[in-house]
Amino acid sequence: MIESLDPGTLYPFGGAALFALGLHGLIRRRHLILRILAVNIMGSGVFMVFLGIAARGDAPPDPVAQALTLTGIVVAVSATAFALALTVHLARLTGHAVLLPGPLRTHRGNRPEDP
Amino acid sequence: MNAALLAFDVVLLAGLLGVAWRCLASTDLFRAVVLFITFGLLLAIAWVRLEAPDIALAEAAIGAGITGALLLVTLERLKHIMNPHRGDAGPSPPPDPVASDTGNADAEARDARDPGAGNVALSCAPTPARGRWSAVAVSGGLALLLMATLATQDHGPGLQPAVAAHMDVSGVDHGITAVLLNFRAWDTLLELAMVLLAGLGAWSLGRHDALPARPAPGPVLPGAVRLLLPVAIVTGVYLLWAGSHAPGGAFQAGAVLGAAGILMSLARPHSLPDPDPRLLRIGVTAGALLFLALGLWGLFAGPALLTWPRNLAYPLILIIETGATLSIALTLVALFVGGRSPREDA
Repeated sequence: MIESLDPGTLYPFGGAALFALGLHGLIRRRHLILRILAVNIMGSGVFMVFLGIAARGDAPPDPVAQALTLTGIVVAVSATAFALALTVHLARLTGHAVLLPGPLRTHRGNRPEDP
Repeated sequence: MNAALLAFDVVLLAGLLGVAWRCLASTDLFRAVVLFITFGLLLAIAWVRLEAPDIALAEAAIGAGITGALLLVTLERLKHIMNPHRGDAGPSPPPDPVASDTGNADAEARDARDPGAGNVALSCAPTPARGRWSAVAVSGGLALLLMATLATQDHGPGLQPAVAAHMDVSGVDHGITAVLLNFRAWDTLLELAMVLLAGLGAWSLGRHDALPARPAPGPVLPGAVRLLLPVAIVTGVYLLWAGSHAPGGAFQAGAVLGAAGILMSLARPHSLPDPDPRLLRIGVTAGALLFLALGLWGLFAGPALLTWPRNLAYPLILIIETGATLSIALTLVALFVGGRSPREDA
């Protein structure tokens, strides 16, 4: 029983759970920073499934999966940085960092313009 | 031994899930960000357990370090935007990017007098109970579906034998570097383009303002930077060099150098002018353009687009990695500073 529970078997399930946890946070939380964190946690779950499957068996882990994960981490930090910049921009225009239904309204009630 | 490792894995996974849950359930944004950084560090340990030291290095440096710094500076910006009567950065972008130190000191004095006021911007309302069960059903159902798929999936050897069989033509001795810069160079080129795009996107949103997180002037930060900067540069260059035969490479090196750049931008005296925007633009695009140029050269001189002749593979990979390291580090610092240099518009 213990033999069958090597990291390659155990971690993909943990990754699936992390993905679902992140998705739940993404659905439930309104604040954009928390949503960005939720997407990052979902991404980490995907990486964990990927690396877990790559590490299965006795052979050395699959370098292609690891290289793709490395690419994924750098892309994730770029996307996060851009999303954070957009959040700050939205807060500067509207005064809050939450997406509300309806058209975008600024502090002064006029259409947003690039400063 | 096996049972102890299994217990370690179970505790680590439970810790990861618990920290992620507390992070997403938090009503205090600062607390959520600190928990997220903790999550990144725990994740790095998980990657070591999965025999992926390259990913662990990248996760600790990029996932926890750089993302954490970006999140913390964003929180400071939000705090200044949402409390316009306090601090010097109101909802309208400050006209003078080099804010005077006295303004910051005033704001800090007010912060000290009224410590609770700044937290309004950093808190968010707890989620209303309506729709709770449908969200749990959707994400829980998806988790069960994923786990059922994973449990029934049979696993083959993957691409490890194929990579091992072609290592002698790759020009390097480390499998992941061979995949990243030779066998699947296309991915890495597009990834550099993605980093560049994020930087350009942030620049298109406006000029950068004074860093709100700039610490009070004093000898500690510049002194620490003076000690840490050479260490960070040596570590970054070593990681870049080691990538050809051991865990390491352009991304980890870029993250370490980027962290050094972030520290330097925090400790930089106000009186120092911004770097030349033309040089900055060249540095940010150098990685992707160099990669593309050498890849096109491979189309005419070598076997195909983005492939290298066998005897030139090692020097070419080293050149590309150096350019990529420089661009990634500069872009990460630019994303932290946020927005293009005021000198661009002058």
